[in-house]
Amino acid sequence: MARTLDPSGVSGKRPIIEEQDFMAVVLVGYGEHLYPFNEGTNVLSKALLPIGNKPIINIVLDWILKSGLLEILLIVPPSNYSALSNHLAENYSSASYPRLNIILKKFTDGERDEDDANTSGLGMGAKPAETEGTARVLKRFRSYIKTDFVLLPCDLYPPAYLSLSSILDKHRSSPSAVLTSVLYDPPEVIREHEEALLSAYDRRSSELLMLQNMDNLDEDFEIRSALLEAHPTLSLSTRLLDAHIYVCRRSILDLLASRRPRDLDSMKVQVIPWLVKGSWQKGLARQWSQLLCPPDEDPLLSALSYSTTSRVTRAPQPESDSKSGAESPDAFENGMENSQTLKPKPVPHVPWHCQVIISRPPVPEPPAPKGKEKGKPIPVAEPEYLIRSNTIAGYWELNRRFLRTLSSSVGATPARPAFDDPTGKAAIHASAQISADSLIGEGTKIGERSSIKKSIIGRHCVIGKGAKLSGCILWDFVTVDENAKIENAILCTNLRVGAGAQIKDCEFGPGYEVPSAAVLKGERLVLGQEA
Amino acid sequence: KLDIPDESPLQAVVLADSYNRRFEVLCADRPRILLPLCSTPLLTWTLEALSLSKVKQVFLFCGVHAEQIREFVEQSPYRRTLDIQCLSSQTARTPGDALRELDSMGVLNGDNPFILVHSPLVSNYDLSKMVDAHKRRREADPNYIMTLGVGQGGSRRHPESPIMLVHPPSSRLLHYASHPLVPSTPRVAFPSHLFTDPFPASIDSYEIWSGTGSSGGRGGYRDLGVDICELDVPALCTENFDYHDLRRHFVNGVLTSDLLGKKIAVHLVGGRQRKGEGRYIERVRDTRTYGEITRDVLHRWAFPLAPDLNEPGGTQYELRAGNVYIARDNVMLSRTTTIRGPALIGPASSLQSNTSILRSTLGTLTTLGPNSSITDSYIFDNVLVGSHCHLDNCIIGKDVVIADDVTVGRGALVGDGVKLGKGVQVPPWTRVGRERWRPEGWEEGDEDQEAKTLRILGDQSLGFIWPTEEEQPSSDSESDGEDPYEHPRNKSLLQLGRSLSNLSSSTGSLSTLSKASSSPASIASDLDTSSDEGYGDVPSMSLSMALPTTGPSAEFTKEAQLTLERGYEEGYDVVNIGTEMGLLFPAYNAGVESARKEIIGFVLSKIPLAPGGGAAGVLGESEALFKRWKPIFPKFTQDYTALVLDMQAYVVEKRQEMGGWFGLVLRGAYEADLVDEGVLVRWRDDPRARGEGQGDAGAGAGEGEQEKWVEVWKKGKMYVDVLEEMESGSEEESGEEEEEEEESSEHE
Repeated sequence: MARTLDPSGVSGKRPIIEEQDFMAVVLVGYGEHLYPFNEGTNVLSKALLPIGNKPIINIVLDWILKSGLLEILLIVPPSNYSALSNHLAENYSSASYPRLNIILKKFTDGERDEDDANTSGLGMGAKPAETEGTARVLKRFRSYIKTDFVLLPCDLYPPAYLSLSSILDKHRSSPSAVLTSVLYDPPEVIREHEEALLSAYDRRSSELLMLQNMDNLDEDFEIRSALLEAHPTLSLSTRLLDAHIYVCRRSILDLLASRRPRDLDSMKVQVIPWLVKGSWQKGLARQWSQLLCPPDEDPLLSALSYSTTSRVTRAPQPESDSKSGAESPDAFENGMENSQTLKPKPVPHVPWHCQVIISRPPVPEPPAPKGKEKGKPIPVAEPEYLIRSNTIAGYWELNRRFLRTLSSSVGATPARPAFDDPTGKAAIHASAQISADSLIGEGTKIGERSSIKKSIIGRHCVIGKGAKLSGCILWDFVTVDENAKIENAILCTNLRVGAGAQIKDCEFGPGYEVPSAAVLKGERLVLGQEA
Repeated sequence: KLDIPDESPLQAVVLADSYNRRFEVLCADRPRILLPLCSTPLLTWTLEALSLSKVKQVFLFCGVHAEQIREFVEQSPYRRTLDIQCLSSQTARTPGDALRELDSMGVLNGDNPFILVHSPLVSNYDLSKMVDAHKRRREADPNYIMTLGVGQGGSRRHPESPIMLVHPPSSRLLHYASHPLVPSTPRVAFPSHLFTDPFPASIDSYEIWSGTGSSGGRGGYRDLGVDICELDVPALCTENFDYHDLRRHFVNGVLTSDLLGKKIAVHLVGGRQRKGEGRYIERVRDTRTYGEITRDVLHRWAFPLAPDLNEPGGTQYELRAGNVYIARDNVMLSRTTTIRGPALIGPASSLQSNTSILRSTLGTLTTLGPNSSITDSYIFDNVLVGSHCHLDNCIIGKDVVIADDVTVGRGALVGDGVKLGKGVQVPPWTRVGRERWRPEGWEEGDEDQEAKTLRILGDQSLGFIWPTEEEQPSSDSESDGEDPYEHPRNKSLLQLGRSLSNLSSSTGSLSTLSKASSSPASIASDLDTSSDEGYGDVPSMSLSMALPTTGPSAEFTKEAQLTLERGYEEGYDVVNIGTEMGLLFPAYNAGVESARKEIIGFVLSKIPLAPGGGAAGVLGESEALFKRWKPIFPKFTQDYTALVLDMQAYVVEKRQEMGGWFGLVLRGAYEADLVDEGVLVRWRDDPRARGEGQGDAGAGAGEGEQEKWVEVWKKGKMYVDVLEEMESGSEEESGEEEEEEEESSEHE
């Protein structure tokens, strides 16, 4: 099911831009919130979590490609490198995507800053680089990023109404925007599992004005009067979450470079809230505008660089280390010398701001999707949400939604995908009952009199005879022995469920073995643990 | 929809008393609600607004002068269309008291909510829409007991704009905070539990509504002072005898009480109404809004309520070009009279030759002598103005006689029946009443006041100077002491003629302005031309020794001072002052440096070193001043180090008591972005800052002079050192940086 990308323009919407004005940067994390998927042998990379037997990174990459971006920088943990590079070679080879340029890098590949040495020395110890925040990683790879860029998570499932090109266009269309980020309205089930975020924005100008973690609130929540004065109608929300889609001006990297790494670890926790705050707080805005809005940029020239007819190349902005080198202890003096030589008059303040796009299901009906359906497919299209699979709850929700789309499109797709399998290896016994809203991966064997309902079965699984699966997600290479009964469970790669086991509402890590005739309910277990 | 028969008529309660002193002198003989606006009493405007809103029964809750209101109602044509009842009480001192008495009278019917009108209204908005919305809300949730009217839009700031936290889908009010313009608070606090633990838990989106900002670009929100109330509201007031102010006490009490479980909603007027529907609604709260609303009416914002069409008072006016309304009845205009709109000339007025009327309203029977001018002023009935008089931004009461050559300054209020003698100059923001000011509990005549009256008004006048609101003792009641709007500086902003343009949001920058221009002491001193601050005598020329020019002449210094002072007092745009100064110094061949010195010296002279304010006060003031004046400096200097040197020079030579505060002053300049840390560090390292080359070239002061320089330099150095450390050190919590700095410098 490889998609072809027509280089002349995807679905006639957007011609591929000659000069790429954005680079997509996808950071793949360790999946800290994905216990028990992240422990055991052969841990699957967060980016390769299957949603309906399709790795989520494909969804993200396809989304990027659809917007016409062809430069993609993928930064992954070292442990995932080989798996991802194989995956990319298989799915996104230059043969099928001739113009696509995916750079795959390990976290550890980037340039070291001199002051990184001591901190990462610590970090490289027991848990390799796990302490490194996204901002620091980004800072290290800044030499790879020549243009403005969009930072994306690897675990994003965008709804149909939110296209990346629309986000990029929003950024392109407002020259003073340094950052465009996306807040989304999550389905109820997911919201409970995420840290609540208090966001403030101006509905009219769609300026993002504040992001604050709700856990850090004091007794009183204080807002600067200056902010209120500039925005008589200030919208606040505790409902929206940060989608971690950040369209950034290249100069943000310069700002990052000017700061010491211990000040900035995570984009989410530090850098973005700072930027947002700096956009309206006059002191910060002024201080940073030098870096964020480099004065040497000729507006006419940059406007020309967006032109499709003119051939003006946009000079990559110089590394402004010299100007902003606050990294070394004597940096202040350097800065002093500079400022002495540079300017006796104050630097002109170029205004800049941060924008926000709020992604809500377009239907005005109150978004209260039922977490658990009782077998009844919803006849009306349920509101589509932006969902991230960064938590178990998100992962469940994505797969549930996938199953629902299967069941709603029953008429169109064959109930038994196995018949389509040209290899014929997916031996499904004639007496096996497979409901229409299930998906069976290739090479999977299903034994006699087994029953599979509302489940996604990965590739090369073996389902023993008489096994009953309902509402399950099986990854690849899972073995279910005879007469096992599994309900609402996620079974990771290489898992084995012993004969006659009864499992309900469980998630098991890769390689786990459920002993025969075990009865498990509501467990989250990884290899080596016992119920 | 409207055909549904309502058994019970829609009731409205109008609080005729203001329970404050904002119109005090004018209200000596009559209640505020009978003051004329565009020659029509405010009560008439209010009744008109209520009749438009399908109100059937009106309760006028009167305090003092109840008999006048009763009499007025007897003769009013509204008597025929509305059931108007005057309730009077001598004991009610606050709106809360009024509601308590209302509750005990039992005149309100419980089937329908009633409209509570706090202050006189000028409106073409149909309030019954608000009532309907309230009823709908209450059908869904009977806990809603009140709906506040909130206006949106308009570019005017008001010192009494609240900050409201609203849940937009349900229009429920979650938090209400008074937010005076001064003293401004850098932050506004909301209880966190509104966000972390809302009730009900489904609340997850909020809007903060605040007043129009200083940029004025986008309209903010204002409290309309019109509430739709259920009977619970007066009942709750009865239960809680300490509820006085309906906003501060009642609304906050209901919102913060978990026990009551009652809810308050807001109703937005303006912004989203369909075209063609009236949506103008404003209330007369103080002299500032009085002026604004008058101009609005003349600009036909309250259409169809305009003087030439449906003037509620019934006088016939003719509309001429430029929003000039002239009564059709016996108005005498001289050939040389100029009237520039918006203006309204009442019946039987006579304007003699060479008179000019600018954006003003004149009542019935106003006579204006030759060569007089009236600008931005509101003149009530039967006023006689002599020749060569100048009235600016003031309100003149009924039956006032103003003799020749009188000047009435901006913001002045002249009460009914006052006579101003020939040549009297009424200083800005003065209140003149016919009787002596006699508040309750007042024992003896105040000698100061007497003396001032005599000095200002002379012996040919009939009238007495009343203390302005901010200098009155705040003995009103204990509860008023805590009202943030009643802060003297904020109150002074409520007056006609005050400019808000130079207020910045971050600091209470007005303080010096109001101190300098409104306190009687400085008025008196201005008049006596004996200023206690500033450059009084011939300036010492030691400032200019390092300059290639021969030094500025004394005339230049004097002229510059006058220019700056005038610009400052009248709130000119700083850039314009800069332009004026730029024209001035070449004329005296004075050199740009001396101009710069004059300016910075002037700014520094405005920083008060009041012992009460303490370090934070000095810092705040200086930062605000520097902020305001910052735009002037680029014209006069390329090198800000020189500016800092000038500041030092000023302190050393003119105002040594400021020496100890110099660090704070520098900090103020830094915070105001006037100078950056580079400039300050260069200043610190500059030998001139340590007085080198100053002593010998100076006016012979020699050693002692240099020591003074060093002393001041040391004070400044302390701050620059701290700053340098801070800049090179951690900047991580940039937001918190400021707090840290504040702490560290307070330790200095």
